[in-house]
Amino acid sequence: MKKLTLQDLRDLRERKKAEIARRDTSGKTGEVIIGMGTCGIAAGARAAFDAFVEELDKGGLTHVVVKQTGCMGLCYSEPTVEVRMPGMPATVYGTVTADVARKIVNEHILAGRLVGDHVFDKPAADIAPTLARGAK
Amino acid sequence: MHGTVSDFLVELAQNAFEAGAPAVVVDVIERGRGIEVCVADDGPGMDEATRRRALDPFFSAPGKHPGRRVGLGLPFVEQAVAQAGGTFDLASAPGAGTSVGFALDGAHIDAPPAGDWAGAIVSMLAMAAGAGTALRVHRMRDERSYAVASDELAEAVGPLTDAGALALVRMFVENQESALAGDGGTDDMDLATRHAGAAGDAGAAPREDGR
Repeated sequence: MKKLTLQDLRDLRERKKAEIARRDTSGKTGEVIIGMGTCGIAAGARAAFDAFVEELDKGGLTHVVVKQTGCMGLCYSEPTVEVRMPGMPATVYGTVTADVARKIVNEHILAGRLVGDHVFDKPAADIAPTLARGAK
Repeated sequence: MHGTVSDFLVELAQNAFEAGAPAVVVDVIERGRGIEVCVADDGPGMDEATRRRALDPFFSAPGKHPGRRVGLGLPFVEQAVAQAGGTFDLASAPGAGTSVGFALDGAHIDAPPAGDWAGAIVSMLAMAAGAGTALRVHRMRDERSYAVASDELAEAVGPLTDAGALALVRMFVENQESALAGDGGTDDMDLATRHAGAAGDAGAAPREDGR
């Protein structure tokens, strides 16, 4: 088994950059903020974090930043995640399992539709039609 | 309550980042079934009265969660470690930072499983990046060891808030963990090639400390 070095990592990054440059990342900038307080960690926020990283990386979504924060005050609905994308309301999702995290990437971030059954911070009335389109 | 010992580590690190420490050093040492974890920061530190109250579940540092009066992280970890027959230590002084850690026997019947150390380390690196904190992690398992530093990793792959960078770091840390375990089953070059989307040589010869 070969133990990787930092130089290996730099080389991989360079090759990956070339790969990403060939994809359409739509030029948007956004943030995924994962609640990693005691409640979040206990409820499995790290699995959600891993799923976001994996799915965003898979989609080459280099303009979406992944951050972690402390408790968002919604301990009953952990793991909670706030998603901020241009042209969409800042949205807090609750009970974000790994599967839900992948759904948020594909529906909210890529398709611009809210994942209605996991929205915990209700959006304003003027974006309700968007929610309706996103809800099942 | 947290499910694994690696969750305890993330909990302690999260406290250090939230305290606004410029630098955090984490040690995770496994000797046989024994696990020792220490998180040391150079943050503002606590006076003795605050240090004692930090283990009170109905206390949270002023300003951390305005309007809230609970802080369950440290008490949960202390309780879980005690249940597993381990030891917990919290040392702090104003201006001198805080050092918090625990030691437990992973073979104890009430000890939680160790969990995903690589995942915990990557999560801490991402937290550190978001908090603007320099993080260094020393990892040891019996006679083997490696170290990762957030500034060196960021220099190699870019900001550690970028999913692509984090995916590469995850692969890197998993590789270091496999080497710690003496695990010969992973073909790292195949893994590296899948990530890069291209074939080729992965670069310089490895050094024992992973740098």
